[in-house]
Formats: sequence, structure tokens, C-alpha cells
Amino acid sequence: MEKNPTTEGADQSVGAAGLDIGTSRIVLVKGTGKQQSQSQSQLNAFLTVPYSKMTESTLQQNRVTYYKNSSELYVYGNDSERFASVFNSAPRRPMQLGVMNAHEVMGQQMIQSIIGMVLPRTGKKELLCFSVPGGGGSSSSNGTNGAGRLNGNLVYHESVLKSFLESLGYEARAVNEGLAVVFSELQKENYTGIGISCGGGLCNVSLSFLSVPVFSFSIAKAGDYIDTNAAAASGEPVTRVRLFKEESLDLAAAPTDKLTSALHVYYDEVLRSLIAQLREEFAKSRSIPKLDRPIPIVLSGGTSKPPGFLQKFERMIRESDFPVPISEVRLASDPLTATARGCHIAAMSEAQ
Amino acid sequence: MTAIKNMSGGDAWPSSVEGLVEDFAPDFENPVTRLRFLRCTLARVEQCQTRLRRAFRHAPFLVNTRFYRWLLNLSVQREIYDVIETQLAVDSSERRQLLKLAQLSPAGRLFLRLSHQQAFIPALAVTFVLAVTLSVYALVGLPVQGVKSGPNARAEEAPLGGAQPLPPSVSAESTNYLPDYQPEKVWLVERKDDHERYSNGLRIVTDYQISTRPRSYHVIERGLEKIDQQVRHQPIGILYHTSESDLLAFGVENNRSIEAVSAGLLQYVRRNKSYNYVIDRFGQVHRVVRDSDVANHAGHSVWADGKGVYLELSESFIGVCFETRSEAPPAPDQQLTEAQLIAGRLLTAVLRSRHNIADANCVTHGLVSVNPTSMLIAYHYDWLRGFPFAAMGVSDKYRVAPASISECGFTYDDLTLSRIGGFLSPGIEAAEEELTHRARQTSQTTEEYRRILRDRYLSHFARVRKMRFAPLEDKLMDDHLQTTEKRRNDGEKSDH
Repeated sequence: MEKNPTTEGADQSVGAAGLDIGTSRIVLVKGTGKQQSQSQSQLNAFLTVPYSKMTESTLQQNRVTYYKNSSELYVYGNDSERFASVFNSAPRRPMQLGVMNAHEVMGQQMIQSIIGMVLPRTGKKELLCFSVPGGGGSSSSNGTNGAGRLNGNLVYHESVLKSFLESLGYEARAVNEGLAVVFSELQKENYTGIGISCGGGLCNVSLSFLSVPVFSFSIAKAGDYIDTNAAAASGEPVTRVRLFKEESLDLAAAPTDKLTSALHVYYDEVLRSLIAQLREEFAKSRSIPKLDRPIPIVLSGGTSKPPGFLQKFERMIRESDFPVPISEVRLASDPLTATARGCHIAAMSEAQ
Repeated sequence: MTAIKNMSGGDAWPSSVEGLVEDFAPDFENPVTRLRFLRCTLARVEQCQTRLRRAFRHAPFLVNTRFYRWLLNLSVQREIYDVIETQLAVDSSERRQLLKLAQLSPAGRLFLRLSHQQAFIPALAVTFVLAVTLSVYALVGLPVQGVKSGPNARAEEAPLGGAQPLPPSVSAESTNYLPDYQPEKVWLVERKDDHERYSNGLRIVTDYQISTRPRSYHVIERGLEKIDQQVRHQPIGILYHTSESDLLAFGVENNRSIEAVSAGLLQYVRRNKSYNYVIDRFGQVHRVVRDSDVANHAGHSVWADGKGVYLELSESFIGVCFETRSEAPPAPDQQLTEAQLIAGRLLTAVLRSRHNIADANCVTHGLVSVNPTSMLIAYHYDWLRGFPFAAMGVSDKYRVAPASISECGFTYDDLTLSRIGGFLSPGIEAAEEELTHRARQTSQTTEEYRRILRDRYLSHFARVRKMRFAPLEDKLMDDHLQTTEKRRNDGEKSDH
């Protein structure tokens, strides 16, 4: 594979770093603690176009990052979405349901390339915490062939990523995605509460008590589930559904057409599954400490961004006779970078 | 030790070792330092607990003593200071600042110095055991010197070998000997990890304490004319309940079983957030749900005082549950033990003093419980008779006309009467007479007047519930409202 000359490659120091490797996006937050932390984000997707000199020249002129092999060009990251309509092609995803997409031949290589766009190589053995999903819950709301399969994929996923990140020179440690949300948003509550990350492939949940994770799990119903099913129900293309969901959807307003109605229905379904699984985890967990005070819930992730999502979640959870008292339900200060910021805080806290 | 710090202005976390660690956490403004502190300290505290338990393995009876808890707290503090000094990588001025905030006592400082010696903890444990043994020997040895007068003389005269029989538990009626009290003089003497002690001798155990959600209610004007829009959060009354749990014969032979049953009751109450307080058969008062929070004790209920009418009393009244049954207890004089009566009186005094609760609002569940679907009183009938109001230091509410009848149009039928043993309190009879009298004054039949009161009640009931969050089972009440409305419309049409 020939590397595009526009790709960064020089050794750089980042201090400790936090990396959110999500199904939809990869986000890096870095900083040494003595300066304000910086974040970078890339779409976790790529596009293949047949190779031609003219195409390659166009990409170079537009300073687009790409890979070239003998017969194809691979455009990846944020540029993949931009050029999808130009080349009349749908972006492909290296990850599915929060882990490596086993059906995507180029998945592993692409994800490494996309990570390489945000995370420079280092020679200083800096600490990097990266996000991983929780294990699948035991209920059928998971949408996979049971918890065992998701957990098995998770082991492979974490192992591959760790190995790659260590090859870039980092000391890599995995942090549960829900727990990372707790680290980034629940400092005032001494890291006690529930962190929920609603991403593209999975919703990840973690209950933490004074920064110690009590239980964590994930359900395979999130943004992609909503897009795919709403598209099937309304007869619209998935890309249009996703665009509408990200830019125009208001969950607080009554649905006005078939598409909005379908989105409301599938959002409700995701929230119902999430709350049911959360209650089940509370019921079966034997290590829940004595919570004599209401605990907060923090929501993050792109799927939680539409207006009305927070109110809908809060209403549903208060109606559900939740097993522990909830003090408040709130959105992360920046839902798209909360996981990465939490990983960064975890890395900084462990760095010497 | 540092004072327990509030996280958000409410009551503090229970002071376990985790609570002690958490007390220090807010002193770290930087989120990274705070996280590092918590992670380092909690791991070390767990090791510390294991070491201490191992040191006391030959004297396990000491693990539940105050000395053990004091030792554990000091050990935890030692770990905390160690983490601050060695692991937090803060600069020296910040480190000094953090250590200064701890306000360690001289004994604590000396302890910290000595505790770094490996044999210190085991040596301290052995010393304590020896000291206790010598003290017990000294106490047992004293009477042998022959102190002939005072209580010890009576002890000598008592028969050897057999324990004195326990005094019989006192029935609810014979408690007139209890002295008068003045609630305004009751105050909190001390608050510890697991209990609170008050100036009148009350001890409230807080092991099972939880939070639910804050109280929130509206007061309706007498006559049900309008609802005061102001949302109130302070409890306005006390509601007495029975647990209706299993009761064993109250005797020494059932000691352990009685304790086990009480523990089971407390677990149940905690799980279901059923009451604010439980008084077990040994007179121990347990707070389960905080005073400021709602417990699910009153259900559909109505009561009134001079200021207004209250609906759904879980929001506005504190629920106090006696571990007993309404129906035939094992023996006629064992419905309430003497210890429960005393504890109930002390608790009533504390609650009235703390929340400025009027005598008029100390009432029993049976007198306030209603069924809005059938519009009958006494849906729950615990303490509908036989509650020792005088022993609690409050006036007899069986003589008070319940607002459920006189203001809201509830009534009773033969089935209700038979369920409560045919007993009607003087207050219920008076309320029915008052209703009939008012109906006559407005030139209506009793049933017509009762229907007007009911409609007014149901309307306010629905509005009060909508003002705060109302669960879905209110559909039943909405159905009833629609039926009432339809009946009224049909009645008007037939008149025309």
C-alpha cells in the first residue's frame, strides 16, 4: 500500500491522550494538563473508487487523504462523506455494532489509517486510554446472537486495537465507554452515577461508585439501528434518514410525516430497551454499594443530540419505577467528545 | 477527623470508610487529581480493611465495636495522608494545603507516626482485649467485697440460678403514668455513622436509611373551594401504621426469631420505600426514608386541619410504622410492647419538635385511608381503633370528624363495617351527622349533598395529581371522573 504524502508521520508529543473509537466517529483528545486539551475528530468510514490518474490528481489537488493500491483508491475519514456524492458511492464502515466489522475485508487496515490521521506516532511511551464497549447484556434487547458473541468479538476488537496503538509507540489501556462518560462529566459528584454513551453502533452504559465501575453493559440498538429501520419503514434512503435525524429531527415535537414518525418510534424502542436492560442489571448485580443518595445520569453520544431526547429519556425513566433514586438526568457538555475527554482524564490520572 | 461534607446541600452520605474517602475528594479541584486520589485511595483502603480484619481474627466479637470503627477510621486516614504525600504528584504547597485541611488531632498524628510500625495494629488489638478482660474481672469481683446496702443487696437476695421473668408487656390503654413532655425542648445530641441520639433519650438507627424523592404537595382550602398554588415541601403531619407482618409470641424463647422477623420487615420496607420510620418490637426506631422524602405509606387518603385539606398524604405526612398487626395478636396485651409505646412517644416528640407538627395532624392510617373508586372510607384500616393516642402524647383523633366524610363525601357500607368488626369511631358518626345537618341546611338530601362533595373532591384530586407527576394508573381515576360527569349530564337532561 502506498501512503499518501499528505498523511502526517513525524514523531510528536501529545502528553497523555484519550481516544474514542466509535462506530461512527473516531475522536482524540490530547494535552499535557498544563495547557488546554485539544480534540480532533474523523469519520470512521471510507470510500473506494476505481483508480485513475485523473482521480488521483483530483484528490491530491483537494489535499484529500487516501490510500492507493494497484486498482483502487481508498478515501477515508471526513473526506469520505464529502466525496461519496461526487463518486456516487456509499461510504463503507470498518466497524459495526461497536466492534470491528468482520464482513469488511479492509476494515482493520482502514481503521488503523483513520486512527493514524488523528494520532501521531510517538517515541516517548506516552499513556493512551482508548474506549471499548461494555459486554452485551443478557436480554434479547441486545439485537445480537446473545451476549456471548458480542463479548467474543470484543476481546478480538480490544486486542487488535491495543496492539496497533502500541505499535505507534503508546502505552495503551482500554476504558469502558460508559465509564469514560462518568469521568468526563461527573467530577462534582465524585464520579458516582450512571454514564450512558449513545453512539452509532451501540449504547454503552456504566454505573460507577467513586470512580469504581460497578457494572457495565451495552445494547446493540443505537444510531445505526434507528437509521436502518426508519429507512425501511418510511421508504427513504438510509443516508437521507441519517442527515434528517442529525439536522432536523425534534423529538419534543409531534411527528408530522412518515419519516419523523418512524424516527420517533425507533428512538422510543432504543430508550425502552436501554432502560429495561439497566433495570435488569440493577436487579441481578450483587455488587451494588449502599446508594443512600440519588445518583445522576449523564447522556452523551451523537444519538442523544436531537432536541427532545433528554426530556424523552427522563420521562421514560421516571415512569419506569427505577430501582434507585435519580437526582437528575442531563446531557454531557459536549456529547460528541465526552467519551474521548473521559479517556483523556483517565490517562492523565494514571500517567506519572 | 474532617466533618462530613454535603455534596449538594442535602443530607450527607452515610459515613462508611468510602464516605470518609469521599469527604476529602472535593478538596481536589482538578478533575484529574480527584480521580487519581479516589482510585489510589479506595484500593489501599480495601487492603487496609483486610489487614485489620486479619489482626482481629482471634477476637471477632470486637469487629462490631466502636473501638474497631475508630481504629478503622484512623487507619483509613493514614492511607489517605499517605496517598496525598506520595502519590498525587502535587506540588509541595498544594500538599501542605491538603494536609492542613484534614485538621488531624494530636492523637491522630501520634497514631500516624506509630502505625507505620508493622506490629502496631496487632499490638493495639491485643492491648485492647487485655484491657477489656481486666475491666470485666474488676467489675465482677467488686460485689464479692460485700456491699450490703442499695441495689446490690437486692441482687443478693434474689434467687440464684433462675432469671427473673420479664415484666409483661403493657397494653395500649394503661400508659397514663408517662410524664408530660415539651416538644420544643427536644434537640439532636449527636449523629454517628449508624444512629442519631436526641435529648429526650430517643435513638434512631439509620442503617437502612435511603432517599426517594422530595415531598411536593398543595393545600386545598376548607370547603374544597380552591387549591393553594404554592408547592410545599415540609411534612405537616404524622401518620401511624401497623406493619401487618408476622408476630411471634413476645418472650425470651423467641428472641432470635423476633429479631430475624424484624430484620426481614426492614429489608422489605427499604425495598418498597414503604414508611419513613419503623418501630420494631424491641422499641428500636429505624429511619428508612428521610423525613424530607416521600415514602409510599398513605395511598389514597384525606385529612384536614384548621389550615386546609390534604390529599394523598404520602407527600405531606411522615409515615411511622409499628411492627404489629391490627387483628388478634398472639396475646391480647401484646399488640404493642411497652418499649414500642415509649419509642413511639419519644419519636412523636422529636418529629413534632423538628417539623413543628400540630397535634391535630397526628393521626392513624385507618382514619385517613379512602377508596376514590368506590368512595368508601377505611380502604386500609390499620389503627382504625385501639391506637394509644394518649401514650403518644397527642389527643384522641377517634373523636375527630374525618374530613373524608364531612368535606369529601366519602361514606361506609355494611361490608366495610363488617371488615372492621362493626366498630365506628365517635368521629365517624359525628361526621355523618354533620353531613346530614349541612345537607338539610342547603335544602338537599344527604345523597345529593354527598354527590356534590364527591365531585368537588374528585376534581381537586385529579388537579392535585396533575400538578405533580402522576403515574399511569390514574387512568382509573380519569374513567371515574368521566362516569361522574356523564351521570351528572344524564341527570340534568332527565330534569329538563
